[in-house]
Amino acid sequence: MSRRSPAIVVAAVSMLLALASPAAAGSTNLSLTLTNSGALSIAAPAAASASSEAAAGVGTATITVSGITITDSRTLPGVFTATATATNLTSGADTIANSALLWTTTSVTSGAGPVPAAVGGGGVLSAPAVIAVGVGLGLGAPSYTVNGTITANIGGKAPGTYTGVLTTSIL
Amino acid sequence: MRTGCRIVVGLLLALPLVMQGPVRAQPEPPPPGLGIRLLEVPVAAADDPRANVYIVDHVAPGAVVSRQVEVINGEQERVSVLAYPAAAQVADGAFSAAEGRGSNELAGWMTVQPDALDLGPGERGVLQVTIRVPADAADGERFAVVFAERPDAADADGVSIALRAGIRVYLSVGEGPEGTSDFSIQTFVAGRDPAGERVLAAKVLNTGERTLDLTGELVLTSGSLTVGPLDVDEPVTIRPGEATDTTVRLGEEVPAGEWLARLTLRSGLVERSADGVVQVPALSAVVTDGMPDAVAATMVPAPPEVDAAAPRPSRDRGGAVALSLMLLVVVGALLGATYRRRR
Repeated sequence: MSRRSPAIVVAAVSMLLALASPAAAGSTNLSLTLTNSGALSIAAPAAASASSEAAAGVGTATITVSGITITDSRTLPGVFTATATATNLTSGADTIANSALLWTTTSVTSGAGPVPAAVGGGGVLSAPAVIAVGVGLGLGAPSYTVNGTITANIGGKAPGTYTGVLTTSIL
Repeated sequence: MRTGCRIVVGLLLALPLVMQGPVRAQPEPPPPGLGIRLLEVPVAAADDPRANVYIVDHVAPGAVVSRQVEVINGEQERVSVLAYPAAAQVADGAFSAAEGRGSNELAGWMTVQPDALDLGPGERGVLQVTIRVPADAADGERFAVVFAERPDAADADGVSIALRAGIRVYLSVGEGPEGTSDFSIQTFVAGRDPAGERVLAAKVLNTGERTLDLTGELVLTSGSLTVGPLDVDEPVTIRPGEATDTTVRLGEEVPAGEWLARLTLRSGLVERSADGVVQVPALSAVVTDGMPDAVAATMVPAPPEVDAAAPRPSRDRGGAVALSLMLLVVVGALLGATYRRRR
């Protein structure tokens, strides 16, 4: 009997440690730490496709943006909205105002299998324009690829290579 | 007996390792790009799905709200990440953030520490978000976002792309208990949208005192035939007292005719359903503006509305299974040792 006691003590201590640890973490203060709420992610290429060359006098130029990837890995239901804004496009001293830049989502596709829906959007890029809206049901990690175009009004602008920043947001 | 004790001790010492080892898979590589997630939720709101993915809170003036947020670098290269609060608004059925670091009252109350992270491939960093509500803050709900931003690559040609991933903040300020969250499905009709697609359109009114994020689904039945659930096309966010339209595309699989429709919408823990008889139009029709052959549903009394928790994914039960198996082994070893000793 005396040889069995240490084993029983160790058993009791081990089980108490194993069972008590998770509970203690959440009961020490008013906040509960989550380990499985999952992340909302966004990825995109470093730059939009090379700007299209527009002939002088043409009113618009189109810039293709391919491969914005949204991944909703949240394990609880939640909606998401992806938006985009742009700075003015500049070429030396010449500027194309961002109010002349229009986003249009051309496609929203998902990887494999049935996933909750996501839909596209559009709007002027001087303010946040919706590029995709969707809902995650907490059932996995549906991933969506969003493609779109920026239509720039270049009427009256000097020829040149214009640069700017497109900021895509997910929340 | 000595051997039996050693086996028992060994198994028990290994118990915590077994619980955390094989049943918990190695963390998967993060999704590409920049990711963000909320790490903490108030205990009182632990069952609310919205409070688990957004900062949703109700506090008195003068209160301090604190949350931790994790930022994840899913790129194959080291990135510098900026962290900051920004203004947000709810308008036209959507929650949207301001451009850049645009501020509003709530964003002005917020701090995010640190304000920059340097993360290697696959690395994660933690942000501490603090909201200090002034003692003289007026009652009401406010909106903001906690953003992590990967700035654009300065050397990119043409239009370079920056990334921002954010956590929404819905903060209600006021003395006393939190206002109610509630809504009603007022009407729905089957018809066509302006593009000619067959849809069921419902009008929803936020009858509570908190902003709602509505999602849901539609089920159609006709005799023994059931179609659905069909997801609501687009989640909508509506403020108290506001109404919005939400639609469900019927697709081509729903035969024309009379159907019993059950539309279920939810926001966090609040779920409401409405039943009605709808006349689904034929697949082909002359399309004009609006919903030319829309047919208002004959609403029928819905079952008692319930405040039901939205479906929750099953938690990892691997630890419990492992514990049960280990306890069985331990008990078996003890019994075996005792049996051998008695023999």
